[in-house]
Amino acid sequence: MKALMWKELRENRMKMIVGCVLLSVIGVAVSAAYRFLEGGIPGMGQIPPEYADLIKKLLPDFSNVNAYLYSQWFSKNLQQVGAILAVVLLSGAVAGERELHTAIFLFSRPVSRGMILASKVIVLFGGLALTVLVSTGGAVLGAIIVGKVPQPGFVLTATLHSVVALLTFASLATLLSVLVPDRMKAMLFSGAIIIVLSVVGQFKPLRWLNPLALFGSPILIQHPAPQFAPIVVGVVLSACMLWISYGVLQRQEF
Amino acid sequence: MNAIEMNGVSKSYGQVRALEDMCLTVPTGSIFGLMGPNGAGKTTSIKLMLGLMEPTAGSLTVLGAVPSGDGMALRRRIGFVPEDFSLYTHMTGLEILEFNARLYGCSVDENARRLQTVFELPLARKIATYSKGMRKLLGLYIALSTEPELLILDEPTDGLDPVVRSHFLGVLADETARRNLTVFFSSHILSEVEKICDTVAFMRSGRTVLQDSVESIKERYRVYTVRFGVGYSPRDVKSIAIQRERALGQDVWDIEVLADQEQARTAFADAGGTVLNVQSLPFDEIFLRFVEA
Repeated sequence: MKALMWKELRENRMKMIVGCVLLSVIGVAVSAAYRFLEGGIPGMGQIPPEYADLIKKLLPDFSNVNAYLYSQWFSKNLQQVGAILAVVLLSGAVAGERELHTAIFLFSRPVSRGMILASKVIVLFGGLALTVLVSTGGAVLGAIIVGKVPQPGFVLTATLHSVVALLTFASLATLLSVLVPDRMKAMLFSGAIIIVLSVVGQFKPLRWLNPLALFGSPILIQHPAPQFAPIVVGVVLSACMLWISYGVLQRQEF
Repeated sequence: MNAIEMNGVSKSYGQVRALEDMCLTVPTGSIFGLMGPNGAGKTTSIKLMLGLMEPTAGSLTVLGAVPSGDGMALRRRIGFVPEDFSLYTHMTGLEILEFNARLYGCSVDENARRLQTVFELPLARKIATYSKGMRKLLGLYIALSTEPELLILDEPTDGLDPVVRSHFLGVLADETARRNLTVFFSSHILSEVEKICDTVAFMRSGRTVLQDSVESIKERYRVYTVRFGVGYSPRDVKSIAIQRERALGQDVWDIEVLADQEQARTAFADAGGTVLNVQSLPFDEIFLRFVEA
């Protein structure tokens, strides 16, 4: 198991480092921007009131730093870049081995397929979770640098939701990686499923389909306690998708 | 005891039948060559032996175990060099040897270090910088480094230049001689099979059409020029199977059979024929007779 994990770490370290650095820089930048934007946009007073109201709706919530971090970091930048990173990292898990013709070598060794999948999931999920923690640390640091200290309870709760959400996306990409023998196709299918469900989930009757709801809701700003439903749904969905991936991989012929 | 036994094994991919009622016996300690044209079912047979696939029908045992059930334990006793494979190019030669050894639950030991003097590969270099021939040699090095009981090689010298191929076969022959190793070798390069294999099987369309020792096949396959008496023809030859027949004149035929000479002459005599001439055929010609038939 250790040997397999070492191999995964070596293979994916650059992707993980680049993703972590990129997200951390975005985190710091988003928080630092608070200082420059909280006073409003220069010349806003000259815009006709009907347009000004419209623009205000599109602007970040500056009512407090927690609200700002929720609207600009957890439910925007981390959500979008993190989802892309989750899909990029996990789509190649099994599909990459097939595409690069290393699958026949790996699966003909005396190790179980479950162990091979587990080593991939542990390393890549771990890398993804670490990226969320480090980059959110960057966002908090950025906020502290500009003199705004976010509420720790809120940061921890929102981070927990983000980790669960991104690991759910990663589980979907893992499943597609087992089902589709091509890395790029696995990536596109995973991305397409997330996007389609997110768009469909914007309509009220279908809101339950929206995978972005796993990131929590603005309620977290006022009541920083984990929301039971999204976390349970995320964990159960992830477990189901990983279990199906394992079952399919067991039956696959190489 | 046999290292591999296949009895009536079939394998289908949907509507396509890759193997059909295949039978094969590989004696322990032999170098066995499985020969057949592309698409004959050689790679499918190997994947079944490794437990990477399950047969649709029939029974298969490798080193006394059933691959589909005991796959993991069985693979620990097998060294395998796949046909179309890549190694992790971000690793060095030594790293892949260590990685493989850890998957086999052992370490790069004295045997592996001894092999380094045989293979002469630049193990400190990344695999990405290796030539195709060096990668194939590294594949064999990896397979031998874990002291397997059975070595399975799927078209191992395909695409190699003659120098590297000769080195590869030389190492294989030496290492096989050093220990009680069974080698199962699939190839369509007849000269190398003829050179290093004790026993061969010819495959055509998912079936074994012949299994025997190379020497026996070369010894027993003959072209007999036979003159038949009035009212007789090759159709009257009963006790031996005719592989191919060609009329040379009204009553003279060239008849190809795989049989002992004594047995063939008796069979022709019983059918009213007189043998005028006997010729042998090169091994590659014999192979073509079976796989093109």
